[in-house]
Amino acid sequence: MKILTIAWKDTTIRFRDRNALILMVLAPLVLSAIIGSAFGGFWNGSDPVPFDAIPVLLINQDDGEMGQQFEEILTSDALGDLLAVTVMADETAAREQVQRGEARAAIVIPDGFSEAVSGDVAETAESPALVQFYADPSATVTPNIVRGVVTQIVNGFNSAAISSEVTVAQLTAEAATLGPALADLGTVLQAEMQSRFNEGQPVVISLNDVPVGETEETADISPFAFFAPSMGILFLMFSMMDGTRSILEEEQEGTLSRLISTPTSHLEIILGKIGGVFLTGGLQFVVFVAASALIFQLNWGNSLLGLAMLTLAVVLSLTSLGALIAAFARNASQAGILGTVVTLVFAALGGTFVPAQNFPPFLQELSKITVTRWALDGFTDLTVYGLGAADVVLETAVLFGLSLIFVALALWQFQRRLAK
Amino acid sequence: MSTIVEVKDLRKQYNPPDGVTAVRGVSFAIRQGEIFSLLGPNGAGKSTTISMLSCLLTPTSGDAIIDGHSIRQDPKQVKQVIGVVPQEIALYDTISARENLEFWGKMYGLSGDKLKERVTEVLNIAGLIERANEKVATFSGGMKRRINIAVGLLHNPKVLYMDEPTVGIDPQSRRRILDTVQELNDQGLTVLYTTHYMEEAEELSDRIGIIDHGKLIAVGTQDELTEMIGQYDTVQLDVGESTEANGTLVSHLAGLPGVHQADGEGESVMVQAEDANQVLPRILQTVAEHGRSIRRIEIKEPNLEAVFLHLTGRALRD
Ligand SMILES: Nc1ncnc2c1ncn2[C@@H]1O[C@H](COP(=O)(O)OP(=O)(O)OP(=O)(O)O)[C@@H](O)[C@H]1O
Ligand SMILES: [Mg+2]
Repeated sequence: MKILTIAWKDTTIRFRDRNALILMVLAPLVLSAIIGSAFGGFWNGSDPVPFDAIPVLLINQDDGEMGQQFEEILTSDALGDLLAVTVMADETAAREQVQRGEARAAIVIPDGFSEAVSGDVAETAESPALVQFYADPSATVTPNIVRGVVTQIVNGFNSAAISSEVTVAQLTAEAATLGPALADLGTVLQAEMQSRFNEGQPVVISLNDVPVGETEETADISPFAFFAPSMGILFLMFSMMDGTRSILEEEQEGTLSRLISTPTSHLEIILGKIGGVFLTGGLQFVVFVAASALIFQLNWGNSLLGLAMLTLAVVLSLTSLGALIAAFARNASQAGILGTVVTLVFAALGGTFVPAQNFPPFLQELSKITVTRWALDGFTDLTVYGLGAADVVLETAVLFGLSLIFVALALWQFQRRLAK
Repeated sequence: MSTIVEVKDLRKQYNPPDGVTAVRGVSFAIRQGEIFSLLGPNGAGKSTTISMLSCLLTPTSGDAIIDGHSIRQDPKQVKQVIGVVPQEIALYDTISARENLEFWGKMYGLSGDKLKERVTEVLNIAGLIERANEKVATFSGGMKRRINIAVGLLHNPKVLYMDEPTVGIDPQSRRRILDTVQELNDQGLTVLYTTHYMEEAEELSDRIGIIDHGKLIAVGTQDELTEMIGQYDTVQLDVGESTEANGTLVSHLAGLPGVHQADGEGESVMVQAEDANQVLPRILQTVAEHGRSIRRIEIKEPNLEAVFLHLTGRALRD
């Protein structure tokens, strides 16, 4: 009860502070708008998509009609804006090209694809027609787009028009997060499909997704979808540092002593203070998400659950990191300096200003010691790639784990500190 | 009258083993319903003592029993019965007086109607009910002090600790605070009051403890304390120059017939005599013989200032 009273007191004080509000909400919005527009204004909705003519290789080993159809769909004009398909014969050479980063993906239509699709070998479930999909695992966005398209076509062959509406709708939703020009992809594909299939087909085709190579590659990332979370996290971190520092400010102002002089335990006081920062951070981030969605039409992904989980984990980890710094800092001004340094180092190392995917490999690994990196990875999964809750479980778990360690250390040190 | 606070050989060393020993074995008792003052100069150890009695600091040794509870053993019970008014104003500036009081009330375990009722009552005591909804930041120093006191009263404590509650405020606010303390005491509240203003201690206290360098050097009623030093008057002289340069003046004054003691401090000289009027001509003469001119002269009946001077050889105020 008293924990909540303290937490709520701090939250009230914080949200009445105009400077704090600017830091918490306005600054990240303005900054992500500026940086986002500098990289290609996304919010007027008519600017060109950065994804056009994605180089894709197609190896058609099927000599039947269905393989031919697959090829035709993939190379159709409808997809021409998006994919630059090169048809070739040598699978090994294709894989090498993907490895070298010359193409983003290679698709192999296997021999016997037509027989499988037409139902001739339908009963032999153990040998389904496997469409192979090779992609560079370090590439981020483009293979996902290609994979989406291929999945779409494969699904079309599998279940024909019956389920294509569903999957097309799904793809449309995903495409919308990638940029306006992709939004009508679903419609195009659906039309293309319906012109070719009339009846349901047995499910015999599956997509075999094979990652290839370790090439470094520049990620193609929608600037605003990346910079909004990145600035949001940066300023969340600033304000969490600011918030936890208030424990030391109260120590200096004498209100902490007064709190201790009331029949309230040290643990309640510390948890109340940390809880207040957590509450503030949660509200701050929710306001930021809502504001960016309303003002800039930023899509925060398709998974409300994922977003909620990740937000909780990020706010908790930044709060506990702030508490840890405050616990070991000598006074508020030292905590302020320390907090700012940690925030900026974590921001740079974690990929706030330049996505971590662009780092050299050792820095990419090193950046994983930062809360920022995990937070950003999680948010870009949601906002840039439109992934779901299951895909941010790892990030969420890591952040919760870190929080646990930070909080335990902070509590231990604060308890020692208050027992004078 | 029964004892409500019993302090037993309290000691506090900050940052042992090399830190300052701020309190060096202090013992005293406060009876139910009295105002007990700790009178001492800056750095005497008043706040340190209060902090230990509030369970903010753990004593290096010794203990105190407050209303039957040991500050070492059951700090939680102690905190229920004491109200604390810290020396520095401990309030949240950016929220209103009422919000402050409601927050602190909840910290004392009050809630609902009881909380509202008490907040209104203490706002009335502080005389700030009309300004209750204004931010504390907009208040004058005196008003903040009054709210600072009001917080300590919220939960109807049995004992109120007030650590120099009138420091740095205008005479009007100070008057108001002293009257409030008196009124609360009249209603039965036991008060432990610290100050370095002799006048406050004299006006308020039933009994006074004089503290210096972490030691309680005398305890008693004002009469008991002044009797300790006999019935001496004090003649305080300001002689333009520092008395360090005129040690002979002080010793000559001390040697005059009828003079009990003479001390120099800065530009002033304190002379204690059985009858000030009788020795005055000789004092003036001695000063003149030393080529000094008197800027100011004051005669005081025996008081706590004199007691302090007598016990420590120093003036209470610097
Ligand atoms: N937190 C602390 N750490 C170390 N030394 C301290 C601390 N607090 C007080 N002291 C020292 O202890 C001594 C007593 O200080 P204290 O504050 O108890 O005196 P006080 O009588 O309240 O003085 P004042 O009238 O100035 O408030 C002083 O020498 C002071 O410097
Ligand atoms: Mg003090």
